[in-house]
Amino acid sequence: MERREFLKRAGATGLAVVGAALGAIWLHDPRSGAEYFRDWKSKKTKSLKSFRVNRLKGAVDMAVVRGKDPEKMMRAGLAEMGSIGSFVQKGDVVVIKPNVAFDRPPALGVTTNPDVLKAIARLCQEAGARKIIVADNPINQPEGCFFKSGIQQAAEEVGAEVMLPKPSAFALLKIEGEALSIWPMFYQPFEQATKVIGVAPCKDHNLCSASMTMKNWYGLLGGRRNQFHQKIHDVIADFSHMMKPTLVVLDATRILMQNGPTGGRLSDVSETNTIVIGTDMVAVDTFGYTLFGRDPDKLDYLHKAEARGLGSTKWKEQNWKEVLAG
Amino acid sequence: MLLLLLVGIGIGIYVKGQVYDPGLFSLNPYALSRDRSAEAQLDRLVSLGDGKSKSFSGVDMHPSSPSGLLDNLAPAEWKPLGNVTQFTADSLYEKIDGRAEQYIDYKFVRLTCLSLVNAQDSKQFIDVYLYDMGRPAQAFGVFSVERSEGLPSVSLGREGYRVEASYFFWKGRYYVQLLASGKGAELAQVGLNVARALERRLKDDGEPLWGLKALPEKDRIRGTVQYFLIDAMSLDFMKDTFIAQYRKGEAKVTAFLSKQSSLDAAVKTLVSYEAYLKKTGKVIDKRETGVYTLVTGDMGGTFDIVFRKGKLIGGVTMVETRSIGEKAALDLLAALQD
Amino acid sequence: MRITHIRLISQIFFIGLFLFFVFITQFGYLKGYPVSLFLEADPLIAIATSITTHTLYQGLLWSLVILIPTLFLGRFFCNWICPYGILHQLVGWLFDNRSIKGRIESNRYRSVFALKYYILIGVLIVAAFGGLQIGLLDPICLFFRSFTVSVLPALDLATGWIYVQPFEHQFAWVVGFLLFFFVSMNLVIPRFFCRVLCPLGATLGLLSRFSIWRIERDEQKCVSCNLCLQRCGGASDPQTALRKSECFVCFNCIDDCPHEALSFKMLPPLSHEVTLPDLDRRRTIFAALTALLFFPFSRSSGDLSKNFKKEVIRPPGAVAEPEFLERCTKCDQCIRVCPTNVLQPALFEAGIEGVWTPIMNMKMGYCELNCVLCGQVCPTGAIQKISIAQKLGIGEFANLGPVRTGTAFFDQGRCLPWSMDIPCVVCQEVCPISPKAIFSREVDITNRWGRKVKLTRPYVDPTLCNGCGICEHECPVKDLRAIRVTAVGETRSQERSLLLK
Repeated sequence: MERREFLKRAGATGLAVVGAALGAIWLHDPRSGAEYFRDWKSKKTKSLKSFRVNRLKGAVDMAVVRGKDPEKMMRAGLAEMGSIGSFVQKGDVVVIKPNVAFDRPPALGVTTNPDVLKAIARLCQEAGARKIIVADNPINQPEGCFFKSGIQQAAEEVGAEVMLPKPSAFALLKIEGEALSIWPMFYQPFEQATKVIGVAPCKDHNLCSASMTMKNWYGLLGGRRNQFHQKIHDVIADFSHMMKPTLVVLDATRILMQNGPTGGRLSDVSETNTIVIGTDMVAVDTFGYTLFGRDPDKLDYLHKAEARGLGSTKWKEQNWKEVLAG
Repeated sequence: MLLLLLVGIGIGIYVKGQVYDPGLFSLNPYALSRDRSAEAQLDRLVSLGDGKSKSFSGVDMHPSSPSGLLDNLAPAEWKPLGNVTQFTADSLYEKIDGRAEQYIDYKFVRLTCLSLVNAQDSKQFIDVYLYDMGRPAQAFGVFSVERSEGLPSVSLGREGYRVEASYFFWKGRYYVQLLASGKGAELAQVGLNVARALERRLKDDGEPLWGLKALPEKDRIRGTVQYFLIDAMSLDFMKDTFIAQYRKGEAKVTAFLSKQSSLDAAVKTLVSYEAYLKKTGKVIDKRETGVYTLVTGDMGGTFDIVFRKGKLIGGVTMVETRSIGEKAALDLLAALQD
Repeated sequence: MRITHIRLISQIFFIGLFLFFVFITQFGYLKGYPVSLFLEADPLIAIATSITTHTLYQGLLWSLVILIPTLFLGRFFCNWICPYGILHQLVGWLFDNRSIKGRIESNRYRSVFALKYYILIGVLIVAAFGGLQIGLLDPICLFFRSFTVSVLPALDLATGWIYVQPFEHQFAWVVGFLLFFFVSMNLVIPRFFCRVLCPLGATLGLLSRFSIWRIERDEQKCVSCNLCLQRCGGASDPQTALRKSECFVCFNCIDDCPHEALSFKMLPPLSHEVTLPDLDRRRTIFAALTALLFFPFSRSSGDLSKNFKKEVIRPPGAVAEPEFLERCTKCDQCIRVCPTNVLQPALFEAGIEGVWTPIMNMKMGYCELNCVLCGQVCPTGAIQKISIAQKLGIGEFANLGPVRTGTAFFDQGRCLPWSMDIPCVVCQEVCPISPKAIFSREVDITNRWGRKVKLTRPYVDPTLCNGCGICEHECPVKDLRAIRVTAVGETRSQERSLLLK
């Protein structure tokens, strides 16, 4: 037969063969069962972006404020750090994450001091924040906790929106930490957030020694959180990987010196009249641990986080300032 | 050659068949074919479990539970806020999160909670926490590790103290916390009334704790006795131990006393303590009489003196002056009956 | 040795291999044998699942081994490899009582043979929407399914050699009769299924247009005696212009021609063949329309979303239901390998799209905790290959938790300790999970005769229950069990969860 027809037909066949082979290889899916479900889940998982802001070289990254009036103290502290304007700008949606874990009154030092919350919220509003959201996933019943701790009232006074942890507000978060990989998280506040500020009380904890700004993020997770108790220091270090906030505030206006995290006795609370504001939660917690009169070298989660490059315990070598305020 | 191809395919399949993960076949095929319900006799009484029922709502209404103990506790013009809730060891974390471990260390059985709120002023509330610790020693244990020195005592149960308007006491196997929302004489009075009403309902056989009896009262600082079921003084071999602070002249001395289950166990514990002294410091004296064995350790700055008398292990720890410590230890020894 | 003899050996080999696979797809014999090889090599399954899932699952790459030679040779698969075809040929040959003239007439091409192309177009269009229905008529799927559901249990009833305990499958009689029907139709038209219905044959027939080798008739030597039609496999008219899309490459015609006028040649003139199948345009459009409507009609029955059926408890490792229906070819390999007989072919429980897909029926069996065999044999990934660690939620999978296929619920009106004052709690005893997903509370009651009875009343903890169904299986209330598992709380589905987790 003719060369041309031969080429045409053989060529068509050859093309068909190559096409089939290439198509098969291109479409081929060699994933194992575990990988398939991981991918399927990750389509359902969310991630948290970083809420950090760029800092000018030489800026003060940690301020230790001593005083009795939380509003004056917050202003003085942030003034040292370049004013609230260097963190929050016009139009920002700021999520303030306090500790509202238990239904205890604020005097017991177990939850965030409502006055500190009001102070930071007002400052954000002055800087032009469009919306302030106050959110936490308490251990006890949410409405009771927000009410008894005084946080509900504080939020109402400054016009902030309290978001309660309804089941639909949770999503699976991809954490990919050492101890935590995927976990349900109270995600709804972060869908619209542009800045995140954690405001943690400073309290003794019978499992991890002290609960400060790193441990504060525990309050965003859902699911069976008691499983964390088995690897508590790794989990707390994971929190500094999971959340990159704009600022953390360690509310040491009162410190629960013993019997934490639930406390219950005013005799366990010491009025320390200090607030620490910082951008590095590891550094803030290292300093905060000294307020208990304890040695930060002995606090595991600080060192685990530092070893993973998630922060520094060497606050002394960083740019920090101590301020006296009203 | 086509035939060769067929042979090749056959061999390939056979070879593939031998390569597999035996873990996939770890089930027992004979168990699959058993009819287990036939094995279960219908009139058989099955009592299962260890009494711990897992709760995912915090409500565990075991018929013999003491939930009734918190009924009708609200004083005049106060009312309950919500329902009585109960928690067992599996679910305690749902109420007090990380703090649960401490109660579980003391063999906690059940927590019953109720919130009482002032009908006139909803900002005033009292949270009642009734911990059933199973045994009086265990109730005393959690009570003692949570209290601090120098708090005003109040006559509730076997021992109690007050912090502003909140009350803490233990009676029999129960440990009670009444946490008030604020301060003030009025609130304190309401709290006290509730505490007394509850206290009356709690049973107590009155059997005194051996440690409280055995530890000499002379020079003992009030409100400093503590009981540890495990890990006393952070030592894993010191279980079932009472600790108290004593004032000896100008100095404060921490004394401890533990009753072991047998002579053998006591001997073993003393050996462990000696090993600990050797590891962290050095043993500078060891005396053995017919009645007791006494070991002194220099921990580099402080002294630990430990003795065994019969089944009892006791001594002093972290004393700054050796002579004071030795005297205190010998005083303690002398005071022991057993 | 003649090529037809080699072909015969090949046929014996492959039907033997097929039967071998069928018999060893059982716990205890399975080891590592690639029992789903026929399914993985089936090009129709590969093509259809590529259309529905936009991927080619794992072992389906083997389909290239059949596909590529088909592009060179034509539909050799139908006569050399296909076990169903071999069965039809065997039955047709065994029971053939026709004369030579009768045989010649029975092997002529008929226009009804175009039906398989309409069927193929139909199922491919449905596949484009995301529903996989090829498994209904695909010969390999059908043959595996028939063995699993009907033939083996029947054999076992007669001899007891197949199973440890007899296996039963719901509506086995439907599948059995269908097999019988198709096979017996060979007495009417030889290779009835292969010529008239087989969508795989249709696929390979369409692909034959690229083939380089073909049966060529030498017009000089041919005397039009039609003897070539005596044993023609595909009824492809070798006596005139060969219909390439029907030719089974069986070489019988070459054997039978007394004048050696037929040969298997490379790139013979196109004018001597009919390359493409004879399809009527209007009927093609009609087939397409039917297919276009099938998918929306079936999906709007709501079975996948709000009205999801509680009986549709899928095997552990199954993907979410919409994807499942894109992948399941109804080959029932999973049902075959399941050691407890809990997997059953659904009839309409999963909707019309789910006919013969696997669902769990706890009255028949239960899902053994340490077993993941169904996923190992599934050729298309409708059930993923999960490890036992993943199924139990241990080790590296601890934070993901176990794979749940459903949740158990008590029917307290039927439960002996709950409503009849009779102690029981077999369910709690057999619950394999640790800590048990069934817990109990003790009550002291006084029964109607005044006697004090201590009853242990069971409860389900849905945070632990994985839906394995052994509780339901062992419950002594055998007509309608007092504890029943339904398809809620399954981990493969976000919408059907019971608890927040």
